[in-house]
Order: sequence, then structure tokens, then C-alpha cells
Amino acid sequence: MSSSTDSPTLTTETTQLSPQPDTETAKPTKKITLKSSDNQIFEVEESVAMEFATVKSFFEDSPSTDTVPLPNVTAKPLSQVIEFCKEQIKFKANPDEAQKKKYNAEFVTEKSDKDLVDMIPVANYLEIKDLLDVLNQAVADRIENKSVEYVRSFFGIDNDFTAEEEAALRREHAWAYEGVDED
Amino acid sequence: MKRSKATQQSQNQDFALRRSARLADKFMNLPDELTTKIFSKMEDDPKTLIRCSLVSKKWASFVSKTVSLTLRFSRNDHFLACSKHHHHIPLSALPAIMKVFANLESLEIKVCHPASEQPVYGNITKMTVTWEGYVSQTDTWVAFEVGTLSSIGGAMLSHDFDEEKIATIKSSLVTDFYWIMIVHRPEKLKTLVISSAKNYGVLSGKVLITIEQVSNLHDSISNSRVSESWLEDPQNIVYWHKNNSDKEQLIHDQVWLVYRSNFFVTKNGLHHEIIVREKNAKELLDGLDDHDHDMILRINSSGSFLNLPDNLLDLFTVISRLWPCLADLELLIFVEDMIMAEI
Repeated sequence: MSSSTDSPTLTTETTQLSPQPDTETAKPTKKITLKSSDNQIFEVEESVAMEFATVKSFFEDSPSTDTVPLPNVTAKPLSQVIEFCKEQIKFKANPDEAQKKKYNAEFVTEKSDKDLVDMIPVANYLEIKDLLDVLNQAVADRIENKSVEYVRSFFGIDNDFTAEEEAALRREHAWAYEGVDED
Repeated sequence: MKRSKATQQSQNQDFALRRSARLADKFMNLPDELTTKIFSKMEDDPKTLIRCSLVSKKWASFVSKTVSLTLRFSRNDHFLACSKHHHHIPLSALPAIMKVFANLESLEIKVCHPASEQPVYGNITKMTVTWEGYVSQTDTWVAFEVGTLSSIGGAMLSHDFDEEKIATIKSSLVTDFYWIMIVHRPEKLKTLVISSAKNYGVLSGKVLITIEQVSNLHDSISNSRVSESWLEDPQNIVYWHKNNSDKEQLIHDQVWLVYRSNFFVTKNGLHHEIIVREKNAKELLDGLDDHDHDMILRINSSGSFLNLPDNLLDLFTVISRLWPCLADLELLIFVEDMIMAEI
């Protein structure tokens, strides 16, 4: 919460023409500790942690704390989410839509199905809207034009239709079940 | 709870083991709310959405909550690919699709032209239908490429275009979808957009004119060369879509002939009155010089059809066929011009 608004007045030796960049580098980066549900500790820069709306509001409510417990989040997806947010901070400082798009695309392409889906509840819990958008789109892309069986196993869902019900639905929408992509 | 039969127990255990092994291998099920967020990314992919509705009964209910959807059809049904390689849906599948997406609020129907289709004219048809309760309003635009306009050669319009014939053909394409949707419309549907477009000169600028402006165009061009100021005069044209990539100052644009029609359908309590009315009636009527200001054609099902143009009669016939129970059918029709009324 201690922002740069009050810091320029402290420096008296320099002219007032170059305020922001100097103070930014001079300011020691504050670290925030996040604790996952499996008791792993992550030290992240304040700017990264502030990308997580949930963490941000936690600090607004109790500014004196230095460790934020995240009871719904396990270490692996959390570390990936942190990795994503670190990059987003860079794009915030240096906006480059094309590069950002490229990074986001690469970020999801190299993840396994499990990693992607595991990150969704984390991005949702931490309220990182951009990431949630990217993940939802990536999952939608992965099941695009796949077979029903593939989608069931992708999400680990049991079929509760009877054989008759399923056959009837397939008949009713025959066009939608033609030309399935390879699993 | 203990089970009496050992075999059954071991079977159950087996199943539970297999299931938990698979879940451990995969991941925790996503909460419902998050699954539906994934579906919202598939609003342009009804094929995958319909497959998802077969995953489980719960998923079927998620899919049925979709509020916005885009469907793509091919002009010659789905066997021919379009240049964009879309998944095309056969027209006959539309009613069943509407049953799956029973909570739709907004639907877009796009009709692709097969890549192999013979070029005739560039054309655009766009019909927008909005519902508010029982009242629906339909706005239709049809435009055809009929020639070129250039600062060197003046206007060149093809002589063989039969505007009435092509207008009928083009509007009938979207009209097929319109009537299917009127019958199978999900209850909450508020907006329907049906569009079909084929552009053969993608990079050219476009000058949109009405049929009345055709003679205007000929007159002006014979007197003076076509210029930007002429094109910017709203009396001469409806709309000038400039081609920004063209850095030269020379004008060489396509001429598109545009038609518009608009009507309301209302169902008013016990009177079952149907009103068909031009949206900006007053404005449009002001533009009419050979009719009375309050030109309203009243047609009673028992009354006469005197002085009615054929296409309005067609409209009346279609409406009375659709609501045959309405003995007291009355149409109030505001007319901009006679050609535009081909709905």
C-alpha cells in the first residue's frame, strides 16, 4: 500500500524533472509471502501479488500481515499462476499487445491438460480475470470438435445417460457427431 | 454398510478403485460455475457445445443455459466448403438445435457462400429481428453490386441486372431462416440476426445507392466527373464505404444497390391485431410526394385489396397463413417505396 506518491518529496538533491523512474529503482521491492494449502511458501514481489485481487483485498483489510494463507490453492498451479502474473507485470510496464498475445498462447500450449484445468479454480479464487479468460479459451480449444468420450475423460465425468437416451440424442443431432477430430 | 454378496462387493470396490485411480490421474472436477465459463467461450462452436450436452445430464443442463450463439450454414446446404472452412450445419437441423439451446437470448445465423460458387453479383443480405414480449420488429437490408464508379470512367452499371428478380431471390434465402425461427424460436430470444454476404472485390470501396438514385447517378456523372464532394452528398448516395488502403486519390469504387424493408408484428391482447409498420414511418412518409401524408393501407381479411402492390399481398398471405385463427386480421402498412416491401 505504501505507494510512490509520497516518496518524491523525500529526495531534495535532484531536480523535479525526473521523478518516477529514479524512485522506482531506488525503492526496495517489498516481498509478500504466500502459503499454499500444502504448506509451501512462495515469496513474490508485491506488484505480482497485487495482481491477485483476493490477495490485494486481504492486504487492504489487514495491512500488517506478511504471510497470506491460500487454503484452496496447491503449490503446483500456484507456481504456474505466479509465473504468468510476473510476465503480465512486464507487459503492464511495457505494453506490447502482440508480444503479450504470443506469450499467453505459449503459456497455455506448453501446459498439460491437467495443469490447465487445475489452474482454472486457482485463477478464479485469486480473481485473475485475464488468466481465467486465457485458460477457459485454451480448454475450449482443446475440446473443439473432439468426441464425446474424449471430453468425458478430459474432465473426468461419468456418463449418466442410458444407452437409449444417448442413441436418441445422437440421432437427433447426427450432423454434430460427424467428422470428429482424432483424440 | 455391509453387502451380502462378496462378488458384488468386490465389483463395487473394483469400480470405485478404477474411478478414483482415473480421477487421481486426471484432476478434481471443476466446480459447475467454472465449467459454464468454459462453455461461454464456445458460443461460435455449436458443434462442440452439442457434443458437450451429451457428456452428462448435468452438462446438458449447462449447455442449455447458453444465452448467445452463432450458427453457420452454407447457401447450398452443408456439403460445399466455404473459403473459411467453417463447420456448416444442415438447415434441417435448426429446429432440433433450438430445443438444445432453449434459453437463448441472442442468435446469429450466418450463411456462407461456397468457395466454388459461380460469381454473379457481390451481395449482402442482413435481417435483424428483435422481440419485446409479443412484438417483433424486422429490419431487412439487401444490397447488390451492380457496377463501378470511377473518377476516370464515370459510372458503369451492368445493364442486365434485373433488380426485382435478384432482390426476391436473395431475400428468400434469409426468409427461409426467418420462418423456421418464427416457429421454433426459444421463448427468451430477443435478437436474431441473419446474414449472408459474398464480396468479389474485397479491397474495393463501396458506394451504396437506392434504386431511385440510379437515374440521379447517371445524370450527375454525365454532367460532371465523380468527385468526393459528390459522394459525400447524402442526396446522391446512401453510404460511401471508403477503401482506406487506397492511397491514390483516384476513385474506383463498386456501386451497390440497396433495399431496405422493415415491419412490426404485434399481438395485442384479445384483439389479435397485427400491425405491420415502417420503423421511421413519419420520416419516410415525408419523402413520399405522390401519396397522402397519412398513407396507411388498411387491409381487412374481409375487405378489398384495392391498389395493393403484389408483394404486399404476398406478405399478407404469408401472415394470414401463419396465424389462420385470426379472423379479424388487420394490417397497417407504411410504405417507403414499392420495391423495398419485398420481405
